Amino acid sequence: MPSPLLQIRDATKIYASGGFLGEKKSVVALDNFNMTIDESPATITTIAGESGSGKTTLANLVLGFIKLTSGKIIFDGEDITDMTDEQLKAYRRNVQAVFQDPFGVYNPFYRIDHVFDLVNKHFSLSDNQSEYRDMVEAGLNVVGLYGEDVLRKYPHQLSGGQRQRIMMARAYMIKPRLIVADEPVSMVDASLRASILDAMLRLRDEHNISFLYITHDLSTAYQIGDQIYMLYQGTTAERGSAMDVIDAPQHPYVQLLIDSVPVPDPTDKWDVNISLPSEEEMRTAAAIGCRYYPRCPHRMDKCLEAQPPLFKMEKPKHEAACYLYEENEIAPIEPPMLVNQPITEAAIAAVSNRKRERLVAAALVIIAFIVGALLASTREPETIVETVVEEVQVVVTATAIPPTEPPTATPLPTATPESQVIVPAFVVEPAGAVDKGSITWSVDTVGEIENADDRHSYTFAGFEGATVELKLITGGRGLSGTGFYAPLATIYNPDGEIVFAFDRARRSNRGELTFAADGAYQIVIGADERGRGVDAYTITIDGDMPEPTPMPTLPPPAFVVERDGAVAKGVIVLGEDTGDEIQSVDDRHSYSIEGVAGTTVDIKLITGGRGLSGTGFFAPLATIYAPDGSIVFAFDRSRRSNSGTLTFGVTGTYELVLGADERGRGVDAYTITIVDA
Amino acid sequence: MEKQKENGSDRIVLKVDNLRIHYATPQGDVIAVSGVSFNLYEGETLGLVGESGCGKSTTAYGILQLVQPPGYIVHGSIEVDGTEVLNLTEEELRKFRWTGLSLIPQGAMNSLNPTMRVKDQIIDVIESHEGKQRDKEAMRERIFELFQNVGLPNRIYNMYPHELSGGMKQRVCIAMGVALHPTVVIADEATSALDVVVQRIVAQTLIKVKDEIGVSLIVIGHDMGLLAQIVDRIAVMYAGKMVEIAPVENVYANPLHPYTQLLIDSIPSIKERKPLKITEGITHDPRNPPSGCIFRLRCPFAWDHCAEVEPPPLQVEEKHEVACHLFDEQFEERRADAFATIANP
Repeated sequence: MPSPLLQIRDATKIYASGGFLGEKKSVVALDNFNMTIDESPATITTIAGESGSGKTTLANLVLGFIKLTSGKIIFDGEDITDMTDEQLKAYRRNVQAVFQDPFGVYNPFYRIDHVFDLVNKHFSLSDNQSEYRDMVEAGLNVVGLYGEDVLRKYPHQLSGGQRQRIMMARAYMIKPRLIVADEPVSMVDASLRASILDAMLRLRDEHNISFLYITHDLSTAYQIGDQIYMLYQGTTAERGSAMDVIDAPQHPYVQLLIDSVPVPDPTDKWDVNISLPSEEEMRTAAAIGCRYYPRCPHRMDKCLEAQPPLFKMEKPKHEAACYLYEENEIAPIEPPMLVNQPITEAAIAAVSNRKRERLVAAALVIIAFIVGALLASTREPETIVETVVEEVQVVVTATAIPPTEPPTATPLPTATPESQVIVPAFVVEPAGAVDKGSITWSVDTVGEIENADDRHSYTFAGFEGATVELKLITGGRGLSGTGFYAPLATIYNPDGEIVFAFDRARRSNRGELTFAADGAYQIVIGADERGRGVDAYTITIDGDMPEPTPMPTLPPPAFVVERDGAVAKGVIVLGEDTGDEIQSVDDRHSYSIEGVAGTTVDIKLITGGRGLSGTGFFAPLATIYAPDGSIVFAFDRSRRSNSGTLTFGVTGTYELVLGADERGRGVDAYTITIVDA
Repeated sequence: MEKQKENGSDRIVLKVDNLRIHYATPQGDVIAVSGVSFNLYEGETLGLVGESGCGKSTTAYGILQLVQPPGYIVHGSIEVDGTEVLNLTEEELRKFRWTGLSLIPQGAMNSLNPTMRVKDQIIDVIESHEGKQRDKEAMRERIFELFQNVGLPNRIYNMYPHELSGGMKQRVCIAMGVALHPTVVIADEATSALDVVVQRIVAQTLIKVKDEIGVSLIVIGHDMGLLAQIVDRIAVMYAGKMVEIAPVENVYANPLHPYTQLLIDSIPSIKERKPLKITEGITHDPRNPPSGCIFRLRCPFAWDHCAEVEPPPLQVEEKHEVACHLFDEQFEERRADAFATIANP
């Protein structure tokens, strides 16, 4: 079993102010918080709550900006509190941040490329200029931008959405495993938020980068979040899958919160008669027991006795900390910490020594106080705070910890992928599936599911004992190309039994399949009964090639051209730009290229305009036909790049036809370059 | 339903006509508001929406005569209850603020004077218009009544702003905004910095006070969810132009202008997961807007005509205007095609 990416155990952070002479106030920003983020598949974990709920404290703790009062944060098996400088540097590579303000993080005097130059300098990504430029371009492409559109601009020339995506691209270049995104969309216009959320989904699905998504905006959490933690005054009020929690909140606070999210429907107005708490009530918290007691409409005497533990709800992993659900089973405490080094006696001794040192330090500070407030005030404030905090903490945690078994008592979870019951994504009558052909190993096969009833079926050869990696990617860059609902797929063995399913329950677009027998396996791709999965897709099956590679299959056409429908614009001279503009959905431009058998050319297609279609999302579409009229290359919706290479199979005149698809995507100015590779 | 009857007045309290505001820059003027015209009816709540930089706040500050240099009003007319605001002298204007027009600013946290008690700030507003008030007891009663209107406890009377929560400070601003019963109140993103629960409390307070005192309200915002809850009509701005103004039900159920459609489509939901609709913001240079329709560069339905002729506002229904050629009768066929595309994405 792989160790989790991030484990947070009993994390407590107390901010203390005042002290000695003044009235001592301490604010418990985070109280015995627990969380586990799995290594794979990558997920988006939302931390939501009102201001003061501790969500930003959590972000700052994970980023290492502040230190825990007690508890542990383990990243990939390493305790981040005890890191050496070297480890810390590696940690910063693995954990990147994207902040709320897309304006403040830029230096207005420098162009955008400066941001990337700094990253390169700091993290020494590449010494080779052209390699480095490719890295920047790749990073920008992932978030739906193109270098030539943004790199030479100043920050004020870009929209908030673009600026925020550049921050994502910057983070991506460092290839982190976790991005802490603190309110990344809250300062960006609603209409531009989608592009940022889309970038997050791409990084998750295509690059296996997990997110800790801090937000107070539940709608975006609902749209892209995998798990959600609803915080209330430093404690987890409720957690579970974002859809389960927001669809059916169980904790009274979460219910009020979700009920207060304005519904964008003027015919469904707020019930004005509902009594809302006054704001003073909202700030008060019970010192012992449930934090929400003073505001809770369901409060009971029991709630004052101790903080409620998380109780299990109906849906798996859905838990709420409320005694209303007392009869439910208490959720098991988190799995034991997986730390790389086994705890040795020496380590234990070191810890207890450190405790003793702290106690001594505390005593010293108290003495210092007595000696004189002046002396104390010249000390590092942090030291004082931490020491005072230690005393406070004893009181706080004593009442707050629910009785739990020691972690060692919990058995290690065992990996059980084999025993897993495979739920079909959908059941296919094989006759209903449209046969699209066969999948050639390690080569992408692209297509598009048009509607809820559309089924595509491919066959591929399986060999007993061989294991293949499966990857299913949502292809479009357009409206439906959001990565939300990867198309669903079911794999049938030669006997027609289901052996694998990319379904909703599978929260990953990847998987592994070991063939039990030789034979022709069938993969059927389609949408579920609610139409989810209707999209372009790419499927890759990677594995040891059991037989010599057959010829790669040709990409499907970007559009099918009636030969006389294409408007001939002239001849492309290899290596020279041809700038032009597709005027309408029916407009087709046709160029001819002389191809010599065996030579390879690099093809690059650049969107010229900056209009609706000039966003880089809909590059013009293009199809290249061989001298015999067969399609040899296509820039279509599924191609996730604006460049490609083509090796000419025969010598002759190839034809390149550019145009828009039936929905008008691709209507734009363009530049096409073909360079002899 | 009852609400609609209440707000169905046809008396115009604010008439903005062909308002144009520029910001001077060394590279030429940025056109922030470009010929905006609309009416506000008595007792109505009008939402003013659009992405940042679309000119919605500038329009509001223009109406209040608070545009700061390098911004300046090029031309236009702003009539409040028959008074032409642009013709007022400095002194008349000072009187007119708070009584004719008042503002509830964005981020109340920063708009209260931190060194003055809450009561003194409110008294200041009242006395600046009504002269020194001798009867202290009556003044106190009056302020308590205002507190009650906006749901504030009397004990904050003697407090300083820093002792109040964000929501309470925002209510103090509302109380000040309505203290002198102005004809028109403009709330600029009055709740956008608040948590959802507090936002709901404050937004409901705002509407309640509006109805009780009988003012007309302009709410500037970008939260389409919140606006759906509190406004009667919505005016949609894009790059300095008003592209559509319509009753709120029409805007959400049947948006007409392609930009309004985009805006409605991009509202995130907590009811269903739907594909993300990806758009880029305003992409043209605001010093040099495109010819014809301002939205044509981003419009999926634009054709040659849109580059040649600027679409005038077309009345499609009562109190519903849209500035798009598709709604011109002579292009009916084109509209049918465009809408067919939307119906079958």
